[in-house]
Amino acid sequence: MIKVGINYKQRLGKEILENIDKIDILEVYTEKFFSPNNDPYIEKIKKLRPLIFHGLDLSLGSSSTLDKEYMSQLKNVLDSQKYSWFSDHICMTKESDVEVGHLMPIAFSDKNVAKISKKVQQVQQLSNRPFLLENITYYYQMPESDLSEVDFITAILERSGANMLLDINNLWINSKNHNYCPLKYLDKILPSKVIEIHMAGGSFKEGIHVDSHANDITTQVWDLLDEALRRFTPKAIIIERDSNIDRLQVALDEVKKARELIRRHE
Amino acid sequence: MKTQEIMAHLITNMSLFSTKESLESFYLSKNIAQPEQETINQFLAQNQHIFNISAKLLLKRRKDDIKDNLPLLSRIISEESFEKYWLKYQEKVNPSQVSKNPLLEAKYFCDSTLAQKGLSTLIREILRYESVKLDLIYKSLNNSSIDNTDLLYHIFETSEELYQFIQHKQTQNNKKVTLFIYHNLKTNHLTTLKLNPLDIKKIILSINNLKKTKEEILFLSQHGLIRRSRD
Repeated sequence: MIKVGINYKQRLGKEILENIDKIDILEVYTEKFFSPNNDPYIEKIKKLRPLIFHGLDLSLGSSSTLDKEYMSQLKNVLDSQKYSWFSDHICMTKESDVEVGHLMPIAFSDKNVAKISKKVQQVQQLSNRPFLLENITYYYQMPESDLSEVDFITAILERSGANMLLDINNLWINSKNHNYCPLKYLDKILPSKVIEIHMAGGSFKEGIHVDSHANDITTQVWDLLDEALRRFTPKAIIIERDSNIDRLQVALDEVKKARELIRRHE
Repeated sequence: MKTQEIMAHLITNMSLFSTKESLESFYLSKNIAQPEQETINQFLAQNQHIFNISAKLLLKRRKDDIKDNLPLLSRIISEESFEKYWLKYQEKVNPSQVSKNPLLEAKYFCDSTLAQKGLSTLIREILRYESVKLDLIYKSLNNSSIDNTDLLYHIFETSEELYQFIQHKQTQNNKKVTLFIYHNLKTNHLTTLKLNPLDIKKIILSINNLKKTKEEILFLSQHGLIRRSRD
Protein backbone atom coordinates (compact mmCIF):
# COMPACT_ATOMS: atom_id res chain seq x y z
CA MET A 1 0.00 0.00 0.00
CA ILE A 2 1.30 3.44 -0.90
CA LYS A 3 1.23 5.68 2.15
CA VAL A 4 0.09 9.28 1.73
CA GLY A 5 1.16 12.06 4.06
CA ILE A 6 2.25 15.65 4.43
CA ASN A 7 5.34 17.62 5.44
CA TYR A 8 5.33 18.81 9.05
CA LYS A 9 4.93 22.44 10.05
CA GLN A 10 5.25 23.33 13.70
CA ARG A 11 2.57 26.01 13.55
CA LEU A 12 0.08 23.36 12.41
CA GLY A 13 1.37 20.71 14.83
CA LYS A 14 -1.74 20.65 17.00
CA GLU A 15 -4.03 20.43 13.97
CA ILE A 16 -1.89 17.66 12.44
CA LEU A 17 -2.13 15.66 15.66
CA GLU A 18 -5.91 16.15 15.79
CA ASN A 19 -6.18 14.91 12.20
CA ILE A 20 -3.62 12.14 12.43
CA ASP A 21 -6.16 9.55 11.26
CA LYS A 22 -6.22 11.33 7.88
CA ILE A 23 -2.54 10.79 7.09
CA ASP A 24 -0.44 7.61 6.90
CA ILE A 25 3.04 9.09 7.22
CA LEU A 26 4.71 12.38 8.15
CA GLU A 27 7.80 13.98 6.63
CA VAL A 28 9.90 16.18 8.93
CA TYR A 29 12.91 18.35 8.10
CA THR A 30 15.95 16.47 9.39
CA GLU A 31 17.51 19.68 10.70
CA LYS A 32 14.55 20.10 13.07
CA PHE A 33 16.14 17.39 15.19
CA PHE A 34 19.63 18.89 15.13
CA SER A 35 18.83 20.88 18.23
CA PRO A 36 17.09 19.20 21.15
CA ASN A 37 13.49 18.85 20.14
CA ASN A 38 10.77 19.63 22.60
CA ASP A 39 7.92 19.78 20.14
CA PRO A 40 5.17 17.94 22.04
CA TYR A 41 3.16 17.31 18.87
CA ILE A 42 6.01 15.55 17.08
CA GLU A 43 6.64 13.47 20.18
CA LYS A 44 3.01 12.29 20.12
CA ILE A 45 2.77 11.95 16.34
CA LYS A 46 5.83 9.72 16.08
CA LYS A 47 4.13 7.17 18.33
CA LEU A 48 1.14 7.12 16.00
CA ARG A 49 2.60 7.40 12.50
CA PRO A 50 5.94 6.60 10.83
CA LEU A 51 8.28 9.53 10.24
CA ILE A 52 10.58 10.15 7.30
CA PHE A 53 13.37 12.72 7.36
CA HIS A 54 14.00 15.25 4.63
CA GLY A 55 17.22 17.28 4.77
CA LEU A 56 17.81 20.71 3.27
CA ASP A 57 21.39 21.54 3.96
CA LEU A 58 23.66 18.57 3.26
CA SER A 59 24.89 20.42 0.16
CA LEU A 60 26.14 17.37 -1.70
CA GLY A 61 27.13 19.53 -4.67
CA SER A 62 29.61 21.78 -2.82
CA SER A 63 33.20 21.51 -4.06
CA SER A 64 34.46 20.78 -0.57
CA THR A 65 34.08 17.53 1.32
CA LEU A 66 30.96 16.97 3.42
CA ASP A 67 30.62 19.34 6.37
CA LYS A 68 31.88 17.41 9.41
CA GLU A 69 29.65 19.20 11.89
CA TYR A 70 26.57 18.63 9.74
CA MET A 71 27.45 14.97 9.32
CA SER A 72 27.92 14.56 13.04
CA GLN A 73 24.53 16.15 13.75
CA LEU A 74 22.93 14.01 11.04
CA LYS A 75 24.41 10.87 12.57
CA ASN A 76 23.05 11.81 15.99
CA VAL A 77 19.57 12.18 14.54
CA LEU A 78 19.77 8.95 12.57
CA ASP A 79 21.04 7.07 15.62
CA SER A 80 18.51 8.45 18.06
CA GLN A 81 15.25 8.62 16.09
CA LYS A 82 12.94 6.11 14.46
CA TYR A 83 12.35 6.72 10.77
CA SER A 84 11.66 4.76 7.61
CA TRP A 85 14.18 6.52 5.34
CA PHE A 86 15.93 9.88 4.94
CA SER A 87 16.59 12.14 2.01
CA ASP A 88 18.23 15.31 0.70
CA HIS A 89 18.63 17.11 -2.62
CA ILE A 90 21.03 16.93 -5.56
CA CYS A 91 22.23 20.51 -5.27
CA MET A 92 24.44 22.84 -3.26
CA THR A 93 23.37 25.30 -0.60
CA LYS A 94 26.83 26.68 0.10
CA GLU A 95 30.09 27.01 -1.74
CA SER A 96 33.34 27.99 0.00
CA ASP A 97 32.37 30.98 2.17
CA VAL A 98 29.18 31.77 0.24
CA GLU A 99 25.87 30.72 1.73
CA VAL A 100 23.47 30.60 -1.17
CA GLY A 101 20.32 30.35 0.92
CA HIS A 102 18.46 28.09 -1.47
CA LEU A 103 18.88 24.85 -3.39
CA MET A 104 21.26 25.86 -6.17
CA PRO A 105 21.80 23.61 -9.18
CA ILE A 106 25.21 22.21 -10.01
CA ALA A 107 26.72 21.34 -13.37
CA PHE A 108 25.28 18.14 -14.84
CA SER A 109 28.68 16.59 -15.50
CA ASP A 110 30.48 13.26 -15.20
CA LYS A 111 32.85 14.91 -12.77
CA ASN A 112 29.97 15.81 -10.47
CA VAL A 113 28.45 12.32 -10.83
CA ALA A 114 31.67 10.89 -9.39
CA LYS A 115 32.01 13.53 -6.70
CA ILE A 116 28.41 13.32 -5.48
CA SER A 117 28.24 9.52 -5.64
CA LYS A 118 31.25 9.32 -3.35
CA LYS A 119 29.63 11.69 -0.87
CA VAL A 120 26.34 9.81 -1.03
CA GLN A 121 28.16 6.60 -0.14
CA GLN A 122 29.62 8.35 2.91
CA VAL A 123 26.13 9.47 3.95
CA GLN A 124 24.78 5.94 3.45
CA GLN A 125 27.34 4.66 5.93
CA LEU A 126 25.60 6.62 8.67
CA SER A 127 22.49 4.45 8.60
CA ASN A 128 21.14 1.13 7.39
CA ARG A 129 17.93 2.86 6.28
CA PRO A 130 17.54 3.92 2.62
CA PHE A 131 18.91 7.31 1.59
CA LEU A 132 16.95 9.11 -1.14
CA LEU A 133 18.00 11.90 -3.49
CA GLU A 134 15.54 14.48 -4.75
CA ASN A 135 15.48 16.24 -8.12
CA ILE A 136 15.35 20.03 -7.64
CA THR A 137 13.92 22.87 -9.69
CA TYR A 138 16.51 24.75 -11.75
CA TYR A 139 15.85 27.82 -13.86
CA TYR A 140 19.18 27.86 -15.71
CA GLN A 141 21.63 25.12 -16.54
CA MET A 142 24.97 25.60 -14.83
CA PRO A 143 28.03 26.14 -17.03
CA GLU A 144 30.27 23.10 -17.61
CA SER A 145 27.24 20.77 -17.88
CA ASP A 146 27.76 17.94 -20.35
CA LEU A 147 24.84 15.64 -19.43
CA SER A 148 21.08 16.00 -19.47
CA GLU A 149 19.39 16.37 -16.07
CA VAL A 150 17.90 12.88 -16.12
CA ASP A 151 21.11 11.21 -17.27
CA PHE A 152 22.95 13.04 -14.51
CA ILE A 153 20.50 11.92 -11.82
CA THR A 154 20.21 8.31 -12.98
CA ALA A 155 24.01 8.03 -13.18
CA ILE A 156 24.30 9.18 -9.54
CA LEU A 157 21.56 6.77 -8.42
CA GLU A 158 23.23 3.88 -10.22
CA ARG A 159 26.77 4.65 -9.09
CA SER A 160 25.96 5.47 -5.45
CA GLY A 161 23.22 2.91 -4.89
CA ALA A 162 20.92 5.62 -3.51
CA ASN A 163 17.17 5.66 -4.15
CA MET A 164 15.07 8.49 -5.50
CA LEU A 165 12.65 10.99 -4.07
CA LEU A 166 10.90 12.05 -7.24
CA ASP A 167 9.41 15.53 -7.02
CA ILE A 168 6.68 15.60 -9.64
CA ASN A 169 6.15 19.35 -9.43
CA ASN A 170 9.88 20.01 -9.90
CA LEU A 171 9.90 17.67 -12.89
CA TRP A 172 6.88 19.39 -14.45
CA ILE A 173 8.36 22.88 -13.85
CA ASN A 174 11.74 21.91 -15.29
CA SER A 175 10.13 20.28 -18.31
CA LYS A 176 8.23 23.51 -19.03
CA ASN A 177 11.12 25.90 -18.38
CA HIS A 178 13.64 23.79 -20.32
CA ASN A 179 11.25 22.47 -22.93
CA TYR A 180 11.62 18.71 -22.57
CA CYS A 181 9.19 15.80 -22.34
CA PRO A 182 8.60 14.76 -18.70
CA LEU A 183 7.36 11.34 -19.78
CA LYS A 184 10.67 10.54 -21.44
CA TYR A 185 12.34 11.60 -18.19
CA LEU A 186 10.12 9.18 -16.22
CA ASP A 187 10.90 6.39 -18.68
CA LYS A 188 14.61 6.69 -17.97
CA ILE A 189 14.29 6.13 -14.22
CA LEU A 190 14.64 2.59 -12.94
CA PRO A 191 11.24 1.88 -11.27
CA SER A 192 12.75 0.17 -8.24
CA LYS A 193 14.65 3.36 -7.39
CA VAL A 194 11.57 5.51 -6.69
CA ILE A 195 10.74 5.16 -3.00
CA GLU A 196 8.99 8.47 -2.41
CA ILE A 197 7.14 11.09 -4.44
CA HIS A 198 6.68 14.77 -3.61
CA MET A 199 3.68 16.71 -4.81
CA ALA A 200 3.40 20.50 -4.57
CA GLY A 201 1.93 23.56 -6.23
CA GLY A 202 4.00 26.12 -8.10
CA SER A 203 3.35 29.48 -9.67
CA PHE A 204 4.15 31.45 -12.80
CA LYS A 205 6.29 34.56 -12.27
CA GLU A 206 8.25 36.81 -14.63
CA GLY A 207 7.70 34.43 -17.51
CA ILE A 208 8.91 31.26 -15.78
CA HIS A 209 7.32 28.47 -13.80
CA VAL A 210 8.45 28.62 -10.17
CA ASP A 211 8.47 26.04 -7.39
CA SER A 212 6.72 27.93 -4.58
CA HIS A 213 5.03 25.28 -2.40
CA ALA A 214 2.43 27.98 -1.84
CA ASN A 215 -0.44 27.03 -4.14
CA ASP A 216 -2.79 24.18 -4.88
CA ILE A 217 -1.36 21.37 -6.99
CA THR A 218 -2.25 22.03 -10.62
CA THR A 219 -4.12 19.64 -12.90
CA GLN A 220 -1.01 19.17 -15.04
CA VAL A 221 0.99 18.02 -12.00
CA TRP A 222 -1.79 15.62 -10.95
CA ASP A 223 -1.76 14.26 -14.51
CA LEU A 224 1.98 13.76 -14.31
CA LEU A 225 1.56 11.89 -11.01
CA ASP A 226 -0.91 9.66 -12.82
CA GLU A 227 1.79 8.94 -15.40
CA ALA A 228 4.37 8.31 -12.66
CA LEU A 229 2.05 5.83 -10.94
CA ARG A 230 1.76 3.88 -14.20
CA ARG A 231 5.52 3.34 -13.98
CA PHE A 232 6.40 3.31 -10.27
CA THR A 233 5.04 1.98 -6.99
CA PRO A 234 6.55 4.29 -4.39
CA LYS A 235 6.23 3.60 -0.68
CA ALA A 236 4.91 7.09 0.03
CA ILE A 237 3.54 10.25 -1.54
CA ILE A 238 4.04 13.47 0.42
CA ILE A 239 1.99 16.61 -0.16
CA GLU A 240 4.32 19.57 0.40
CA ARG A 241 2.83 22.91 1.32
CA ASP A 242 5.05 25.43 3.07
CA SER A 243 3.29 28.76 2.83
CA ASN A 244 -0.09 30.26 2.08
CA ILE A 245 -1.61 27.60 4.33
CA ASP A 246 -3.69 28.79 7.26
CA ARG A 247 -5.67 25.59 7.59
CA LEU A 248 -4.43 22.04 7.42
CA GLN A 249 -7.54 21.10 5.47
CA VAL A 250 -5.95 22.54 2.30
CA ALA A 251 -3.24 19.85 2.44
CA LEU A 252 -5.64 17.16 3.65
CA ASP A 253 -7.87 17.70 0.61
CA GLU A 254 -4.84 17.00 -1.57
CA VAL A 255 -3.99 13.90 0.48
CA LYS A 256 -7.49 12.66 -0.29
CA LYS A 257 -7.05 13.42 -3.98
CA ALA A 258 -3.74 11.52 -4.08
CA ARG A 259 -5.41 8.50 -2.47
CA GLU A 260 -8.16 8.55 -5.10
CA LEU A 261 -5.53 8.57 -7.82
CA ILE A 262 -3.62 5.70 -6.21
CA ARG A 263 -6.83 3.65 -6.04
CA ARG A 264 -7.19 3.92 -9.81
CA HIS A 265 -3.83 2.20 -10.21
CA GLU A 266 -4.48 -0.67 -7.81
CA MET B 1 38.22 30.61 -7.81
CA LYS B 2 36.29 27.91 -9.70
CA THR B 3 33.16 28.43 -11.80
CA GLN B 4 30.79 27.04 -9.18
CA GLU B 5 32.00 29.45 -6.53
CA ILE B 6 31.80 32.38 -8.93
CA MET B 7 28.21 31.41 -9.76
CA ALA B 8 27.36 31.28 -6.05
CA HIS B 9 28.72 34.82 -5.60
CA LEU B 10 26.78 36.10 -8.60
CA ILE B 11 23.40 34.54 -7.77
CA THR B 12 23.50 36.00 -4.26
CA ASN B 13 24.58 39.46 -5.38
CA MET B 14 22.93 40.79 -8.53
CA SER B 15 24.94 44.00 -8.50
CA LEU B 16 28.07 42.01 -9.41
CA PHE B 17 26.76 41.25 -12.89
CA SER B 18 24.39 44.18 -13.44
CA THR B 19 26.89 45.91 -15.75
CA LYS B 20 29.93 44.83 -17.70
CA GLU B 21 32.07 47.13 -15.54
CA SER B 22 30.83 45.68 -12.25
CA LEU B 23 31.48 42.14 -13.51
CA GLU B 24 35.00 43.04 -14.60
CA SER B 25 35.63 44.72 -11.28
CA PHE B 26 34.45 41.53 -9.51
CA TYR B 27 36.80 39.39 -11.66
CA LEU B 28 39.65 41.70 -10.78
CA SER B 29 38.89 41.81 -7.04
CA LYS B 30 38.74 38.01 -6.82
CA ASN B 31 41.65 37.42 -9.15
CA ILE B 32 39.58 35.20 -11.42
CA ALA B 33 41.52 33.39 -14.13
CA GLN B 34 40.85 34.02 -17.82
CA PRO B 35 39.28 30.59 -18.61
CA GLU B 36 36.73 30.98 -15.78
CA GLN B 37 35.97 34.54 -16.92
CA GLU B 38 35.29 33.26 -20.40
CA THR B 39 33.01 30.50 -19.08
CA ILE B 40 30.98 32.98 -17.05
CA ASN B 41 30.83 35.54 -19.86
CA GLN B 42 29.59 32.90 -22.25
CA PHE B 43 27.01 31.70 -19.70
CA LEU B 44 25.71 35.23 -19.11
CA ALA B 45 25.59 35.97 -22.83
CA GLN B 46 23.19 33.05 -23.21
CA ASN B 47 21.36 33.13 -19.87
CA GLN B 48 21.53 36.70 -18.51
CA HIS B 49 17.74 37.15 -18.52
CA ILE B 50 16.88 33.92 -16.72
CA PHE B 51 19.81 34.26 -14.33
CA ASN B 52 18.59 37.76 -13.49
CA ILE B 53 15.12 36.45 -12.76
CA SER B 54 16.56 33.65 -10.61
CA ALA B 55 18.62 36.13 -8.60
CA LYS B 56 15.54 38.36 -8.18
CA LEU B 57 13.44 35.42 -7.00
CA LEU B 58 16.13 34.46 -4.54
CA LEU B 59 16.29 38.02 -3.24
CA LYS B 60 12.52 38.16 -2.90
CA ARG B 61 12.48 34.85 -1.05
CA ARG B 62 15.09 36.22 1.35
CA LYS B 63 12.99 39.32 1.93
CA ASP B 64 9.82 37.25 2.47
CA ASP B 65 11.65 34.96 4.90
CA ILE B 66 12.84 37.98 6.85
CA LYS B 67 9.33 39.41 6.92
CA ASP B 68 7.96 36.08 8.14
CA ASN B 69 10.40 36.25 11.02
CA LEU B 70 9.38 39.82 11.89
CA PRO B 71 5.63 39.40 12.37
CA LEU B 72 5.20 42.53 14.43
CA LEU B 73 7.23 44.92 12.27
CA SER B 74 5.75 43.65 9.03
CA ARG B 75 2.24 44.22 10.31
CA ILE B 76 2.88 47.62 11.84
CA ILE B 77 4.58 49.24 8.85
CA SER B 78 3.36 49.42 5.27
CA GLU B 79 4.79 47.35 2.43
CA GLU B 80 6.35 50.54 1.01
CA SER B 81 8.09 51.36 4.29
CA PHE B 82 9.40 47.84 4.62
CA GLU B 83 10.70 48.05 1.06
CA LYS B 84 12.59 51.27 1.94
CA TYR B 85 14.29 49.63 4.92
CA TRP B 86 15.02 46.56 2.80
CA LEU B 87 16.66 48.63 0.05
CA LYS B 88 18.83 50.50 2.57
CA TYR B 89 19.78 47.18 4.13
CA GLN B 90 20.73 45.85 0.69
CA GLU B 91 23.04 48.80 0.16
CA LYS B 92 24.86 48.10 3.41
CA VAL B 93 25.34 44.34 3.44
CA ASN B 94 27.58 42.05 1.47
CA PRO B 95 25.08 39.34 0.48
CA SER B 96 27.74 36.65 0.23
CA GLN B 97 28.70 37.16 3.85
CA VAL B 98 25.23 37.32 5.39
CA SER B 99 23.82 34.19 6.98
CA LYS B 100 20.95 32.87 4.90
CA ASN B 101 19.38 31.32 7.96
CA PRO B 102 16.17 33.44 7.86
CA LEU B 103 16.13 33.79 11.61
CA LEU B 104 19.69 35.07 11.82
CA GLU B 105 19.32 37.29 8.78
CA ALA B 106 16.12 38.78 10.22
CA LYS B 107 18.03 39.69 13.38
CA TYR B 108 20.86 41.11 11.29
CA PHE B 109 18.29 43.12 9.33
CA CYS B 110 16.88 44.58 12.58
CA ASP B 111 20.30 45.47 13.93
CA SER B 112 21.37 46.99 10.65
CA THR B 113 18.13 48.98 10.33
CA LEU B 114 18.48 50.23 13.90
CA ALA B 115 21.68 51.94 12.80
CA GLN B 116 19.72 54.00 10.27
CA LYS B 117 19.01 57.61 11.14
CA GLY B 118 15.57 59.14 11.44
CA LEU B 119 13.65 56.16 12.80
CA SER B 120 10.64 56.93 14.93
CA THR B 121 10.73 55.82 18.56
CA LEU B 122 8.02 53.29 17.88
CA ILE B 123 9.85 51.66 14.97
CA ARG B 124 13.10 51.72 16.90
CA GLU B 125 11.50 49.92 19.85
CA ILE B 126 9.80 47.37 17.64
CA LEU B 127 13.08 46.64 15.87
CA ARG B 128 14.82 46.23 19.21
CA TYR B 129 12.05 43.99 20.45
CA GLU B 130 12.17 41.82 17.31
CA SER B 131 15.96 41.62 17.49
CA VAL B 132 16.00 40.50 21.12
CA LYS B 133 13.17 38.06 20.42
CA LEU B 134 15.03 36.49 17.46
CA ASP B 135 18.15 36.23 19.55
CA LEU B 136 16.17 34.36 22.18
CA ILE B 137 14.64 32.02 19.63
CA TYR B 138 18.05 31.27 18.15
CA LYS B 139 19.51 30.61 21.57
CA SER B 140 16.60 28.43 22.54
CA LEU B 141 17.00 26.36 19.40
CA ASN B 142 20.62 25.80 20.25
CA ASN B 143 20.25 25.17 23.96
CA SER B 144 18.97 21.88 25.25
CA SER B 145 17.90 23.34 28.57
CA ILE B 146 15.30 25.56 26.95
CA ASP B 147 11.89 24.34 25.90
CA ASN B 148 11.61 26.00 22.51
CA THR B 149 8.01 24.99 21.85
CA ASP B 150 6.92 26.86 24.91
CA LEU B 151 8.97 29.84 23.83
CA LEU B 152 7.65 29.86 20.27
CA TYR B 153 4.12 29.62 21.58
CA HIS B 154 4.70 32.62 23.83
CA ILE B 155 6.26 34.58 21.02
CA PHE B 156 3.28 33.97 18.77
CA GLU B 157 0.95 35.03 21.53
CA THR B 158 3.05 37.99 22.51
CA SER B 159 3.45 39.31 19.00
CA GLU B 160 -0.30 39.16 18.53
CA GLU B 161 -0.87 40.93 21.85
CA LEU B 162 1.68 43.55 20.98
CA TYR B 163 0.15 44.16 17.61
CA GLN B 164 -3.27 44.72 19.14
CA PHE B 165 -1.79 46.92 21.82
CA ILE B 166 0.20 49.06 19.42
CA GLN B 167 -2.75 49.47 17.09
CA HIS B 168 -4.72 50.70 20.05
CA LYS B 169 -2.04 52.90 21.57
CA GLN B 170 -0.33 54.18 18.46
CA THR B 171 -1.55 57.71 19.01
CA GLN B 172 -0.53 57.68 22.65
CA ASN B 173 2.83 58.00 24.30
CA ASN B 174 5.38 55.76 22.59
CA LYS B 175 7.20 55.24 25.84
CA LYS B 176 4.27 53.22 27.11
CA VAL B 177 4.68 50.94 24.14
CA THR B 178 8.31 50.50 25.09
CA LEU B 179 7.38 49.59 28.62
CA PHE B 180 4.77 47.15 27.43
CA ILE B 181 7.26 45.47 25.13
CA TYR B 182 9.76 44.96 27.91
CA HIS B 183 7.02 43.89 30.25
CA ASN B 184 6.15 41.21 27.72
CA LEU B 185 9.74 40.15 27.40
CA LYS B 186 9.91 39.79 31.12
CA THR B 187 6.66 37.98 31.69
CA ASN B 188 6.64 35.79 28.64
CA HIS B 189 10.22 35.26 27.64
CA LEU B 190 12.71 35.90 30.36
CA THR B 191 11.01 33.69 32.89
CA THR B 192 10.45 30.93 30.35
CA LEU B 193 13.95 31.06 29.05
CA LYS B 194 16.08 31.40 32.13
CA LEU B 195 18.12 33.85 30.10
CA ASN B 196 21.79 34.42 30.27
CA PRO B 197 22.42 37.27 32.75
CA LEU B 198 24.10 39.25 29.99
CA ASP B 199 20.93 39.24 27.91
CA ILE B 200 18.90 40.41 30.85
CA LYS B 201 21.47 43.10 31.50
CA LYS B 202 21.26 44.22 27.87
CA ILE B 203 17.50 44.60 28.12
CA ILE B 204 17.62 46.28 31.50
CA LEU B 205 20.27 48.70 30.28
CA SER B 206 18.18 49.70 27.32
CA ILE B 207 15.27 50.33 29.66
CA ASN B 208 17.46 52.30 32.01
CA ASN B 209 18.59 54.51 29.16
CA LEU B 210 15.06 55.74 28.61
CA LYS B 211 13.80 58.70 30.53
CA LYS B 212 11.01 57.54 32.78
CA THR B 213 8.31 59.11 34.85
CA LYS B 214 7.90 58.15 38.52
CA GLU B 215 4.88 56.12 37.57
CA GLU B 216 6.87 54.18 34.98
CA ILE B 217 9.71 53.57 37.40
CA LEU B 218 7.20 52.14 39.83
CA PHE B 219 5.72 49.94 37.09
CA LEU B 220 9.15 48.64 36.06
CA SER B 221 10.29 47.96 39.59
CA GLN B 222 7.03 46.17 40.40
CA HIS B 223 7.72 43.84 37.49
CA GLY B 224 11.29 43.35 38.56
CA LEU B 225 12.70 45.03 35.47
CA ILE B 226 14.67 47.68 37.35
CA ARG B 227 15.78 48.20 40.91
CA ARG B 228 14.33 51.23 42.61
CA SER B 229 17.02 53.60 43.68
CA ARG B 230 17.13 54.46 47.36
CA ASP B 231 15.19 57.64 48.01
